[in-house]
Amino acid sequence: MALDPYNVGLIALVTLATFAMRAIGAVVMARLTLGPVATAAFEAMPVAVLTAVAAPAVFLQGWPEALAGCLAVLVGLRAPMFAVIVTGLVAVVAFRMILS
Amino acid sequence: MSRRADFSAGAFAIAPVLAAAIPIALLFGTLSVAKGLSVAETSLMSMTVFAGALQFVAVDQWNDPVPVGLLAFTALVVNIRHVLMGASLGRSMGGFSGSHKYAAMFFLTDESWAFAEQRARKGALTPAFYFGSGVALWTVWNAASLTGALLGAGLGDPAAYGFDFAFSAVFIAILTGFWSNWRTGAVLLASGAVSALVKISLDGAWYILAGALAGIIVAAILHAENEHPEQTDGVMPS
Repeated sequence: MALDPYNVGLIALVTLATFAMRAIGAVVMARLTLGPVATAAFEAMPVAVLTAVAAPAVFLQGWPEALAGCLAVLVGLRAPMFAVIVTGLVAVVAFRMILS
Repeated sequence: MSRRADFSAGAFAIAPVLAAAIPIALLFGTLSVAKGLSVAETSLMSMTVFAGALQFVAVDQWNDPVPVGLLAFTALVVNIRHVLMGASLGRSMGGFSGSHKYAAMFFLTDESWAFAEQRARKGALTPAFYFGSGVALWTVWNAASLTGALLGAGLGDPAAYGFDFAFSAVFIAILTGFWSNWRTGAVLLASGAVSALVKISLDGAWYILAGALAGIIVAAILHAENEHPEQTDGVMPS
């Protein structure tokens, strides 16, 4: 129930990988100067990775999730972050009730 | 501004994110316990990893046996965006000592990064402001994650409240915050389409790498195409 050494080891591994990525950027990369294409590629990375993580969860689950996702995107182009999250949650519950 | 006022300013700036993080952390705690991690292990992960998206992806892979290589790989790929965020933020961290910089990077999240960048554009980013937002988010994230783990199955079905969609909603909120022009849309479409296609066809977390690469390649191509007309204009006799 408490702490399994194997699980703690795996959590340590994930912690290390996470911290390495966080530290490399500020300590090493901040000293490098990148060319224009490399800069464009690097600047696109957060959007590209976040989209790749989220897209299947939004568009492969079913219609309620996909519709709520589209609505949240539209709201997100105008409204602040918290409004987008609330819209998404309310919309997904509503679409599930309507479409089930 | 005094150090203390700066710390509070950082914590207040991130307040909307704190409210949004509570249901997500509650959900994380619940899902993690449902996946077989103990309350202590769930809390340990929230305290040391402190990365919302990755924690969900990692716990999702906590099957028997845990695919260790894939887990490490996913941790690197999902967090590779922090290399860029750190690289960008590192240029505004002149006021941070060496050890402060490492400590600051422990608290690096998409949200605290965004607020730190905004702050740096308005004036100087102080360690107090940065740690104010970082520590506030860490505290709320851990309190809610522990609560979620303790409540566990007692919460009932998270889908009834739409909480199972909270993770996706947060990502959409972060993504729309990154929107700048049609090129952002092209990157979104490319990584979203490729990620979904690969998710259907392959097991594991390959969809993250494939989708991310597709988006990055599109960004590089669009940039290169954008360069040509400017160069042509430059050599045109006028």
